[in-house]
This record gives sequence, C-alpha cells and structure tokens, in this order.
Amino acid sequence: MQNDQTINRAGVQRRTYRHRGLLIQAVLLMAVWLILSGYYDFLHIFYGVICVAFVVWLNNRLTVLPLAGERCGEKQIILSRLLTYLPWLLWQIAVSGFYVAGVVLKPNPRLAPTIVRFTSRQPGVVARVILGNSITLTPGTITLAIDGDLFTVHALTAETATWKAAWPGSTARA
Amino acid sequence: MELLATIQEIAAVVLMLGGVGFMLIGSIGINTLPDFYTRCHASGKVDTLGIVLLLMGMMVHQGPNLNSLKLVLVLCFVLVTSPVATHFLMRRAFIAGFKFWSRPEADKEKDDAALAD
Repeated sequence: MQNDQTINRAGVQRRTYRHRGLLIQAVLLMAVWLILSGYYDFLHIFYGVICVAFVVWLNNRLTVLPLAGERCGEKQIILSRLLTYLPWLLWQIAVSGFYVAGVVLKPNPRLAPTIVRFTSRQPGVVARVILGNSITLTPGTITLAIDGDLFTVHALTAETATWKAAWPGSTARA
Repeated sequence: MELLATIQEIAAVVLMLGGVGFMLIGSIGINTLPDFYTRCHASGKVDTLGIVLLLMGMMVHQGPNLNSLKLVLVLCFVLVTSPVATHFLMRRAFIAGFKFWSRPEADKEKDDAALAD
C-alpha cells in the first residue's frame, strides 16, 4: 500500500521537476570544481562553468540509456526523504562496523552464514540501487544479487538475517 | 585558544587511533574468517568504518578550511564506492559458484546445548 503511494508520488514529481536532476547535478559539479580548484578569480570560475555545462550536457543524454531494463531518469527520488534517510544510514555504517568487529574479535562468534531471499517492491531502479547499497552498509549483511524485485542477501550471523527480512516493504522468501 | 587547540589535537588523535584500530580488526578478520563471503564482510564493513574515522580525524586536525572540504569529498567517494565494490566482489563470487562455509554439525549441537542452559 505504502509502495503504491510512493509510485504515484514519483509519477507526479516527474512532471513538476523535469529538470530538477540536471539542476542538482550542475550545482554539485560546480561545488566540486570550486572545492578542488581553490582559485576564486573570474577566469578559473569561468573555466569551471564551461566544464560543468559540458558534463551536464553529456549526462543529459545518459538518462535515456536503459539501466536494468528501464530508463534511469524516469522516476525521481523524493529529496526530503533522502535527506532524512542519510543520517540514519551513516549511523548504521558505524553500528555495522562495530558489530562485525565484535564478531571478528569474539573467541567463539557463532558464525552462521545464510542466504536470505526476499522481494521488495521499489518504485525505480535508483531506489533499488539505494536499497541494495543500504543492505550492504547495515550490520552483517551484503547484497549478493538483485533480479527485478528479488533481493538475494548474504548474512553473517543468524540474527542479522532475521533483522533484514523485517524491513518495511519486504516479504521474506525461503 | 591554547586549550581549544589542545582539545582539537586530542580529538583528532582519538579519531585516527580508532580508525587505525578498525583497520587492524578488519585485517585480522580477513585472515581469520572461514570463507570468501565472510571475509568480504570484514573488509567491506570494518574497513569502511576505519577509513571514515581516519578521514574524520584528519578533518578535525585540519580545522575548518578548504582542505577539510576536500576530505569531505573523499569521504563521500568512499561511502558510495565501498559498498558497491563489496557487492560486486560477492556477486561475482556467487555467480562463479564459490562454496559457502557452514558451521560443523558437532559445533551446532554444542551451541544448542549452551543456549538451552
């Protein structure tokens, strides 16, 4: 149910922010240029603007290339949600590092490597990439393969396997 | 000002030591864990945290200037590429049919007995 709403919203957003992706790209690229160059006179910034324009022009044509069977520029991520999600993800990276370090250092860690399969309906290919990356970053699990909505995940211990299957939007599968 | 600089240095050293420690644990994990997949866990997660802590330590050491902004860029790069690299290693291993290690049955029974107590 929740997933259906996300799909609808993504569809609506596609119409209102058609050039949002390009704009964000241009701003980020310009920021990278300014940080890496360190010269703030007219000429250097002018070169930067030319380079950014060229790269955005190249990337603009990339969105029509198919990625995993669908166009990657068609559905957009909701920015506010992404921004609330990132701090949580950073925290999860720390937790996951500590968890695996604990497993490594324990004399009898009770390793139980398992393969978990579950389906998770995501609105677009970018959302699937983010979910796959997040699974890899969070404690004890790494994404092995993604086929459509079917995620195959390798879990280090038995408890981590059960955590991931309980994530929202997922249905566990044997 | 003197005190502030001292605190900054101490924080930087603590962060970097933490980072080095996690890198060390990651390396120990790569050597001790039983199969390819579990070793990927050690290199992919523990080392990522180690690098993040090291970079944060360097940022604190630099203070707020252009160099620490560059370090933020490095940090973003590591956070995006590290899980992708780990995932691809695991995926290729999975497709190539690397064997999974599983716990010996005798050990499992021992664990069950320990849990029952």
